[in-house]
Amino acid sequence: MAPLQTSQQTGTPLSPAELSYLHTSLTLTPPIRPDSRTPTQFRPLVAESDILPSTNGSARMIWGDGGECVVGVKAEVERNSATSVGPRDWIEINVEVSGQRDDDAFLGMTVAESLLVPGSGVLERLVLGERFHWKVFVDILLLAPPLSHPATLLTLTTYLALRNTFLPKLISEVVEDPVFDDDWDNALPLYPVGKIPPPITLLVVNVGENIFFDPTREELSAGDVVLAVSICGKKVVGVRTLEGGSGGVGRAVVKRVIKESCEVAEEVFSNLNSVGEGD
Amino acid sequence: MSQNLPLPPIALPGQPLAQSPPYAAGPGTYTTQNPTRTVITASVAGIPRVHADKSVSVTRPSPSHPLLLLPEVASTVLARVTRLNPRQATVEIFAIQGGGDGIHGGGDGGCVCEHTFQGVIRAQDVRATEKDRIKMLESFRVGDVVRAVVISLGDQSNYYLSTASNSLGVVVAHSDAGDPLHPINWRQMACARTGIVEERKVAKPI
Amino acid sequence: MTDRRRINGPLEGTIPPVFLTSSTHKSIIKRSPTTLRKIFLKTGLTPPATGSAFLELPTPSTHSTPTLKLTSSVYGPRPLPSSTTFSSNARLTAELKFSPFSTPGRRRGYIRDGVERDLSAQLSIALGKSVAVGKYPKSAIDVFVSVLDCEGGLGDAGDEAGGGVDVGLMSVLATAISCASAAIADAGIECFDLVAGGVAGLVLEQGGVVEEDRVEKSLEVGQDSDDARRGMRKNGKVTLVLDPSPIDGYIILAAAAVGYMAARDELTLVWTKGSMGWDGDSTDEVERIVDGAITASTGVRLVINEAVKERLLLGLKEMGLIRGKAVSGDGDAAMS
Repeated sequence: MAPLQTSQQTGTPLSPAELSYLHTSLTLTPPIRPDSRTPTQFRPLVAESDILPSTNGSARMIWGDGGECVVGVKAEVERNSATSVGPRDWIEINVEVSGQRDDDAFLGMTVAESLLVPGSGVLERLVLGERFHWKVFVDILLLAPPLSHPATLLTLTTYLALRNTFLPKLISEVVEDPVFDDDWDNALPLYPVGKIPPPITLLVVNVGENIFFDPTREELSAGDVVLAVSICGKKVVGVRTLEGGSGGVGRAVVKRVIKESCEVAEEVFSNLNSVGEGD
Repeated sequence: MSQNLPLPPIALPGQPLAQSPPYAAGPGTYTTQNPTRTVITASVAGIPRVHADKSVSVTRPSPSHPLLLLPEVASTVLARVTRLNPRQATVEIFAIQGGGDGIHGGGDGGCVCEHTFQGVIRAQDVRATEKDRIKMLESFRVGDVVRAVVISLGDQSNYYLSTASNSLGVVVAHSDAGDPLHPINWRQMACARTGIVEERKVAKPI
Repeated sequence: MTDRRRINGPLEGTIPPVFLTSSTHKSIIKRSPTTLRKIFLKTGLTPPATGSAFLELPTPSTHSTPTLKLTSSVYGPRPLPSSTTFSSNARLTAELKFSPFSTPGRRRGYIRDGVERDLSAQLSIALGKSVAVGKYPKSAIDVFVSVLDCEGGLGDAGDEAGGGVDVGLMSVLATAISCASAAIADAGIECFDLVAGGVAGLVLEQGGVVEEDRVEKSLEVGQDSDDARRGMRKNGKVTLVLDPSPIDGYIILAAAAVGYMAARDELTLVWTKGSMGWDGDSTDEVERIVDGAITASTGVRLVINEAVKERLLLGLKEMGLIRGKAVSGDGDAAMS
């Protein structure tokens, strides 16, 4: 059996004995998590949207272990140019972790890949006539990195921000230069209700036969494999294996993880959508 | 040595070789726990063999590379003294003679390492008797080659070595004038040309 | 007027050469969806390194068609610098680098960008779970993969988008995993199993004629683009293709790259792009793609086995037969 990961590799100050204890308690049926949560229960979090008046959309979330993330979405009108790559260039995502160098390309890539998946329909909504298009800048600021991997926090906040992003309505003709309606109440949402929503990424850790969502840092280091599953509506738009865990994982486990993530995601979506209603 | 075990001529990593209750895992293999039994599986690409003590090992023929050895606890090493202070001698391990816990299987002659490792011989590990009255300058000098045994993996920068045995200690030394010294007894070496006797903790010549 | 003091050019003047723009590279021979491309893999080509391997994917086409060539070197186990903390496991680092001349279009710079860092991180995840790091305390194992020629499809300008998923990076990663694993075996570093990389994708091919903006246009039809795509799938063929190449000209709806340890039946890496359904109407696309990628990597694993064996037999031949044991084998194992 592959050896359990030691604490030195993950940076968590857990001794091999503690890791083994945690591993055993997580492989039980039913499993026992250190904070007594159920496997699909998230830690309490605070979420609010529309906090930055100068942006087209914004959101802020404070995570269960103190991680805090703010996302601002701004849009600019840009001329179609022949030299650009094409529609894939129209959404630019920037991740900044305060206090750390930009060495981790993972976060930016994971978010970007899931947002730009073909067929999501968002790129068509950015077209402004023949010669212009909206260029959307999504700036993600991780004010306080959470103790566990920040992917879930980032993408949930981005989802909220994009869900509440509005672009001014175009009132000019297709061939003219774009002129917009000054009335913000007529602004169109970037992700209208009923169309495909923006994606979220869930961090899932598998230990033995059990699957856990919203893992803490200790659970990440005691797990067998850590997966980041990106879900858009009802479809899986990306899966990545993350660092952490020891040894390989069977393919049946991977498929189960993806399937359960879809089910949990539905609940997450409905909870997120209720943020802002009734505020 | 009869082989009742049908082994393939060449084993690749991940290839199962034998079951554990009759056989044991030797160097170059690892064991996996299935629910029903324990399987010995190859971990390097090489030739599998069964030894007389029923251990299964996989060895690599590598004429161009020294075997991949790291100093392990209880392996004998050759090291050169680089620094000396009253409490310890800092050495540079450059050759490993195998005979450790058998994780890597040193083979018959050991090897010269591609990279040197830093080690330390503490004053209390120089000899087995009268450990508190040791004088480092009478045991080693900078530039001596000593045979020692690894007693611990140590910390991030040093392996811990010991020369507390008859067969361990200085093997090659030079006098202050630069002449080679040959051993006289366990604590003295002499120069052939001038006859000067210098004090070292000498290893018993083989 | 001829000028006798100088060496003159031709009187009529010269016409500057006109280069043909390299249009779409369509492979002349179409592969069937379940055929993998032939792989050339050889180990032990870099003497200074502890272990090394070279992998090339030839494409049966014109000379100007780019193929995929990578070389991998493994150094280690080497002692860690004394400033690092004590670790009872080896520290495995993997680095993947594209050579500046590797992309068919514009020249890449030397600066390490996000793509390289992402692929390096994924490579170290895929390999780290297969190496027995517990057997080499206080040491570092460094794996370097250098891409000498990639087939394009990296999202650079000039690649045809077609509205599908870019699969070029996934094939680079999958072949890098296979090549690095062969190099690790060549180095004699203990590992649980060799990792092979494989890619599979769900492609949309309508009668072999692939129009670039067809996917985008047809997505605008209907209220829910997702339904339209699903409807379009019923119109066009959606097939599972193993080892898709960017130059085959497919529109890829979703793709997966895996790192698979065949003897242990375990995955060390899963990376998917594009949307895959899990609802009950179509057969589980996630399962199909992941299983397809695993099948592709099993094929690659056979090649890695042969290459490592061949090198071993060569070493035995150089040293003569060992202890009278008859080592059968002709030394030059044929590769698939």
